[in-house]
Amino acid sequence: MSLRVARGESIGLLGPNGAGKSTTLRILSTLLQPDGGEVSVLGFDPRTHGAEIRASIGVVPQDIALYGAMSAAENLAFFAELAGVPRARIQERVDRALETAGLTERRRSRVSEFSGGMKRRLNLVAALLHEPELIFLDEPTAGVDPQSRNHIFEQVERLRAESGVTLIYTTHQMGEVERLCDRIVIMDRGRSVADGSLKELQGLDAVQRETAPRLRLQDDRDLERAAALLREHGIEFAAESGSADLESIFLGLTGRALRDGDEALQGADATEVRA
Amino acid sequence: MNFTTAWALARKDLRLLMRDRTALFFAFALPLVLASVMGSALGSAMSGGGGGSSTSGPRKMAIAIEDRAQNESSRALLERIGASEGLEFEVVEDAERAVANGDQANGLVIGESYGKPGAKGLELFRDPARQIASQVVVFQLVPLVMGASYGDSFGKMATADGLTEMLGLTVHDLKPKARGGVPRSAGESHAFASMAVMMLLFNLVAAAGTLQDERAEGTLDRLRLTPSAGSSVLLGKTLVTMTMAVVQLIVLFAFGTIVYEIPVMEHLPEIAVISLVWASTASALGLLFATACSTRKQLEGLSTLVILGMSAVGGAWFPREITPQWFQTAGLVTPVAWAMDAYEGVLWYGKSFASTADLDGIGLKLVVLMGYGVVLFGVSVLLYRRRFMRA
Repeated sequence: MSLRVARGESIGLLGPNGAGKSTTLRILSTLLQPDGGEVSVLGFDPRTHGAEIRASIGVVPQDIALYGAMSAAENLAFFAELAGVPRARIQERVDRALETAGLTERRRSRVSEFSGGMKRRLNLVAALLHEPELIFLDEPTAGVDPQSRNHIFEQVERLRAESGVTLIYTTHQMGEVERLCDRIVIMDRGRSVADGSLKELQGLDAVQRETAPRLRLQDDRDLERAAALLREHGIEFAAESGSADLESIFLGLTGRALRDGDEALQGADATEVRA
Repeated sequence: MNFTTAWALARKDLRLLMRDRTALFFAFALPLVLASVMGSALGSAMSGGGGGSSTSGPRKMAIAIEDRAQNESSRALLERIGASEGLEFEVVEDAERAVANGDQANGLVIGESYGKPGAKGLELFRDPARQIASQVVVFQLVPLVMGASYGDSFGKMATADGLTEMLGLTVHDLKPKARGGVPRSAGESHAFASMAVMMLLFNLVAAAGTLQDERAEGTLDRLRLTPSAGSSVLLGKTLVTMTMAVVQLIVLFAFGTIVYEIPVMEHLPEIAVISLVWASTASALGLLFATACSTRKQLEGLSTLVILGMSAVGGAWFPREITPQWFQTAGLVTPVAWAMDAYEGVLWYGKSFASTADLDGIGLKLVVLMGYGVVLFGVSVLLYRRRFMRA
């Protein structure tokens, strides 16, 4: 796969289970060593300059990665210290992160006592403490209620507006990508199968086929009779459809067959990333 | 690798430990309880110290006695046995049955003809599974029976002192060379050395096992995503296990010193150095388990098996001296045996680092333990890089 992301851009990485989204993120964030291809993140090669990359990126992991027996503030202070935030500024950053997450009132509560949405919000801000210039969000809203999801969206939008960070966002929720991303990359079986804005993706042939107008009838045999009737009565007809939504684009490009995680990657070439 | 980052990671782990009451109990209270129980159990069995405790005095050997004679002679024999220093008895209806059932190692039947001229009248039933106890009982019983039958002077001749005097054999009981006094009991010294060695292993494996928890809960990846934490995680875990080990050993030996008069203060430099070296080796072993296993459950199962096995072979359960020679030799394959020898060498025999005219030093044991520590830590680092950093 070949992928280039400009500074300040926000791209959505979509793909069925096992498409290679998480693997791509793990390579870009230095957690996984690529076994081939070229990778460059913020001008650095992850294989040789991992520490420099990690100092400038923030990763919001798919799973909640916090210490349940520690309070929200303790978790944030701990991760801020490890991220290299100067000791004198840790308190200020923690306070701001708690405010962003809407958890100021619960700063001393243990994370194990939090609801799923609260943990998700804390999981998000824990990755932003060192003010990274490139942020990877790996399904950051999985399993949260609409209010928390909306809160997370608002914070991500505010972050983009205020600091112009670069975002790489993976999710299965098409609406999230439509709302947050300028550009969409659809992956399947370890490859990029489409790359462009929503409008550009809507024009693709495979998408057109998936989103072609359909006359819904009780019985398929009624179709010819219906057309014949319309012609017989001199009625001109033309079916029109609205713009394809992202879900239709996704299904048009990746198909409707179920995917079972790792199976989908079998047979794919080694992932090659240029970012 | 960054020490400041490693210390931040260690502080976090210690903070989590302080909030886990169960872990605290297992780390600091359980070893005290087990050392007390083990010390009491072994105290008399391995006695020979300076005394001072009822629990550490010589243990009397028990014998079941069935008195069918019920005459003056049998009552005199029972009186002698009861007054003896080495035997205590329980009168039963069927001495053979008591031995057959495993209730007693020895059963003495005083026959109806006992005390009558020319009649033997005594039968002893022994449990072959407890040969040592049987031999000790016979050794104690013979002079008492001789004394009862032929008078005190004959009885005295049959005692250990009487026989050695008659044979011209001079016996010397070597007192331990402990500075400032003799420990109360070899059993208590053994118990505290055992707990220092065995429980430390269990606790350090548990502490190092948090590496598996971090991986399972996703926090390890989050740590690896910070600029220098990934490579400092193992050092952080080492600092945690070392800190825990030092505190645990201080608590254990302070308790042993105050409650059981274990001679720690008299050998403070030696105990401190052994403890530091053993803490390092045990930490390295804990890290090896944590990095070699794939899951926490695998870690718990494997480590329990290996630690219990090493402790048995290495002499942390029972003294290696009571085991066959091949077993004692096999024990030296484990670091446990070297640690136990070092602790017991100091706590009981009063050894120091270097050899003296009377005693060997413990220096070699410390060097071997350090060697184990270096190898185990090296393997742990390799496994961590291969299994955790590239995953």
